Amino acid sequence: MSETLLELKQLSLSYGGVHALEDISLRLPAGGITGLIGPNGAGKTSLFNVITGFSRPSRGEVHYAGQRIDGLPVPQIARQGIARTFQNLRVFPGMTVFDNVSIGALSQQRFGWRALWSRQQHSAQAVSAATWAALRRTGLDGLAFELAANLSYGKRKYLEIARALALQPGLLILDEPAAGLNDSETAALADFLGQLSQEGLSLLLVEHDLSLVKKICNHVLVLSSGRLLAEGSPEQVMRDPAVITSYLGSEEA
Amino acid sequence: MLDFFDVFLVQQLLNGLAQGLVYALIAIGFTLIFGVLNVVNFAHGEIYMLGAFAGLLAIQLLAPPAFAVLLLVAAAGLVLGVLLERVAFRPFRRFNDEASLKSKALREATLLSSLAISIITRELMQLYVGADMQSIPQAYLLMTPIQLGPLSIASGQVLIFVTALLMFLLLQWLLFRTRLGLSIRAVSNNRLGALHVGINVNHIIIATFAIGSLMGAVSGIVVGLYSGNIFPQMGFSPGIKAFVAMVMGGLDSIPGAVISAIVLGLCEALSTDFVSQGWSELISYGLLLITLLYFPRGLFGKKVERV
Repeated sequence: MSETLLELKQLSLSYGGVHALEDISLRLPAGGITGLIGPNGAGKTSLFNVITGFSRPSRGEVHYAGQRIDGLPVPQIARQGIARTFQNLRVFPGMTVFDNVSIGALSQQRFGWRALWSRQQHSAQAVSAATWAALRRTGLDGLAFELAANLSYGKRKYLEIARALALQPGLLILDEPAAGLNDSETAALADFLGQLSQEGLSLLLVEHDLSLVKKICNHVLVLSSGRLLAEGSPEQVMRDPAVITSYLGSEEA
Repeated sequence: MLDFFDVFLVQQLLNGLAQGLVYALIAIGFTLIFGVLNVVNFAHGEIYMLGAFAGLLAIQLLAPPAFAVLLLVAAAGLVLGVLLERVAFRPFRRFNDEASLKSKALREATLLSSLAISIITRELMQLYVGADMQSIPQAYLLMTPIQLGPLSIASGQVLIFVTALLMFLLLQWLLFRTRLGLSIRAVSNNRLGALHVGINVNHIIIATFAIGSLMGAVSGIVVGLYSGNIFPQMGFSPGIKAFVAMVMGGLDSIPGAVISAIVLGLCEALSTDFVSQGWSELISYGLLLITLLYFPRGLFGKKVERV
């Protein structure tokens, strides 16, 4: 296995008496697309929340690119290279597509407090270059000055990905990227994610569409009731009897 | 050309415009803060009042040139805004998850805490300086009439026009040309989205309070210099009018709030003269009622979902 990008060590998360995540240890290699599957309430979103710093784990550690990141504030983790998209899209509807994406690009620029008041000029070129690169990468460059609210649902998904890409992340976390897309849109998205991965970006995605997972993921993690039930290649995992009973079986039944 | 108009009418329109611009300056602060937090800041009128008193204090202690008074009040407004956020708003922002952001209970708690701070501030000021009007020293008063043909404008009104125009331009520059402005707009659009794109949401909220309160405080002293009187209750009525302007403008639209505020000011001035003094309040609230009944999203509200 290549070098480790993300490592979780004995990670637990509980709210009051409810254990959302229990004792999860895993390594995510750099490069490749990892799928995270599991029945509803298995803790997939909780795991994303812990990795991105949104929830603080009750126990355990999160390491990203060799650095411990649990306990860091969300914006800092985002700037360190873990970008995220959401199942319920969180674009900025009242801003142009360009401005949406440039927020990501700006965050990647290191400024002090003083730069808040200064014109964007000194970094304008870097920001605008990064923004345009992310827009072209997602095919949104023609819509740059459209308000995000006027985009179709599918385009808004790409906008969220563009905004995340502008952060120049090492790991892109996608929460149900194909939800709400039709078959041809899903196929286009699969191709797009495959290209991103080939360009060296590591992806971690939650997805309910198992055929999509089979198609694009080279590694699959299965969560059930907050525990890591199985991991391995998609074929391995989907043959695993424990997985079939807890997840696939229950779905097909 | 003025022959076509009744000079008296034009004069009243000018007075109304000045009044409307004051409401607009306050309403901008309201709208900015409502934008990032989705909560009404009821202590905003008290920032206006404290701005006026900070100016009076500066005049009494330092007797600086009038321009410096404005700068000092702006600085005071900045500090007051940061303090206000820390005391009345931050304690209710411990949770950042979606359920808490949408929680009516948390929103109402925040709203009531700002109302409490507003009442406490007003009462403390009454205890400390008394409820009476305090006079601005003669040398600083801006009541010199300036004749423009048949029209006469007080120098204070000119100051209001100039200050308002400057502040609108500065705000546009800030919101659309700086990184801070981009971040404020992002946080107003979607707080969680902004957080996950690397924006320190707390810093942005504090900065928004600082900017909004700066504008509120400056409008307080500008009105003080023009009217000559300041008192602890002075923030209440303009605060309510600015709130009405914000609601009429659609809650999240700064241009909407500004236009509504000017309309309010004009209507008040006209009703005072053509109907009677008592009608001016009634007309503002009547306008609010009509807006809410027939344009529930306000006159300029955007049709975008908010989180």
